Amino acid sequence: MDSRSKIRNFPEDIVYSILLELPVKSLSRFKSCCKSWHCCIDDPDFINRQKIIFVNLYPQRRARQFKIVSTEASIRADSKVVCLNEPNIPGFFSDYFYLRVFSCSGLVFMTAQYPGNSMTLWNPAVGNTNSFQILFSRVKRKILFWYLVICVHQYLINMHPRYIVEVYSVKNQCWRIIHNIFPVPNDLSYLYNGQVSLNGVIHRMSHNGEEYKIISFHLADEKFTVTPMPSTCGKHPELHAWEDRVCVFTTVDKEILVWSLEKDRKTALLTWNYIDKLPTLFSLIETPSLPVGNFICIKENGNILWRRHEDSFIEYDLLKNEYTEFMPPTQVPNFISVNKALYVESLVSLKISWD
Amino acid sequence: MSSSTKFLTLKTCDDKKFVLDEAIAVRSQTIKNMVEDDCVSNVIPLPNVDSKTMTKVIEYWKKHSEEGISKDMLMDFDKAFVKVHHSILHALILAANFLNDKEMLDMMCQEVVDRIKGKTPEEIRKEFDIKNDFTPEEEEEIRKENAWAFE
Repeated sequence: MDSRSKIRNFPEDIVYSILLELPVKSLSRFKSCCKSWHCCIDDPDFINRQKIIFVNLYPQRRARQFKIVSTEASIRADSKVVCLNEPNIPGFFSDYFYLRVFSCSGLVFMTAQYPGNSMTLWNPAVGNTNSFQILFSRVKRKILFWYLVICVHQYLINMHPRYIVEVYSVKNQCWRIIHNIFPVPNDLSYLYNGQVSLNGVIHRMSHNGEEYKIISFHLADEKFTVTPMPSTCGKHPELHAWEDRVCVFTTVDKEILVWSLEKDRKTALLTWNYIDKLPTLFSLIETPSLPVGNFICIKENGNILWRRHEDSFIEYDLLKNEYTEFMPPTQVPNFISVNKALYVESLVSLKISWD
Repeated sequence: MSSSTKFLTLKTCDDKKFVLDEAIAVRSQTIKNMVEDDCVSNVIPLPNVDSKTMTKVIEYWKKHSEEGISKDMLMDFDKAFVKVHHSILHALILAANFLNDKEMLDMMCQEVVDRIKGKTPEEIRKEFDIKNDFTPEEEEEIRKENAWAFE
């Protein structure tokens, strides 16, 4: 008889390393395989690796420091907010009014306008930071980010804006200029903070006060495309990632409509498709004095996480139509409403070995 | 052939012998340690690996030691290499673990991950030969808690 017809059991460390690579949904299912798998998946050390972290900056005026906050264990139904060790953020980030934070594929990217347009990349998985400066001194727009940092510089010639696009490669640590034209029409006065990087395309929301557009940068051919957001879609569009899709959330009365940006197979153009709706935080809690509330993310179990206001968070179970409110631990300093959730990512995906 | 080329003889659990260039064989950390500690006499016994599996392992090592092979070619090779029946995949994982070849082990484990991601607990038990040691009540309870994952 073939010795391989019967599978020998794997040693524990191999099973462990396989489990570590699995998405949360599979893990939740595999808990019912056997007791040893159940113990392993429920182990606090294991859960730690499944954290969603989201970065929010808690500027402390006196100490000029920032704290990084994370929600615990997406594998569990309930969330709470905990402080992570703060990264070694360089001193120049004391200028938090000009601080911007983006994230992609496990790296967090921070830029500050002063001094000297410095930028820092932070890898939360290994705790490394890497700082560098841009080439052009008069930068107007520092924006898109993948493993590449893409900067758009605006300058004026005879009162007309012109743009230069520069790309920084994290791997090679050098800048180069790309010659594809940055398609900002003159009336697009500024680029929004909302940014989603997915499947080789970086999407960025921009608007001129009336009209919203998504500017997408395709990494493969280094080209930009612009997709207008129809005004009939709803108000206050915000760009978010939902599962593996790029979506815009718009508000209509007490509902948030979710539109996904998808490529039309025939024309290859990006188009909008309505996919789902959610209640607004306002309609759930019905406290008129509340602002809309900041959407943080949709957890892997399907629950929606909001930041309600400075101190509390809401987790909403879409199926049961129930919500729970939870508070961060007391050692988290008070929010100053500089930024909303800047960065959301499960630690599972933080695997980039970069130093 | 350069005079400095040294060969090692590996013997699998089913008594088959493989003669292999030492430079290739030391992709296995286990063999490398043995060579460095000078405890290699004539034949290196591999009591946990059978000849069928070892043939596959050597095929992998040789390809990854080829000079001038492009990254794309290696990627294509790896892709085809992992497309095997799950019993062979498991045997290869155990072999890579025993031989302590981390690169190969990681690649094979990733393949397992991709294969089992969407499976049910029943399928997992079958694939890994796991005995269900929950009582029906316990299992029902855990399933209830994680109902969302079964949709």
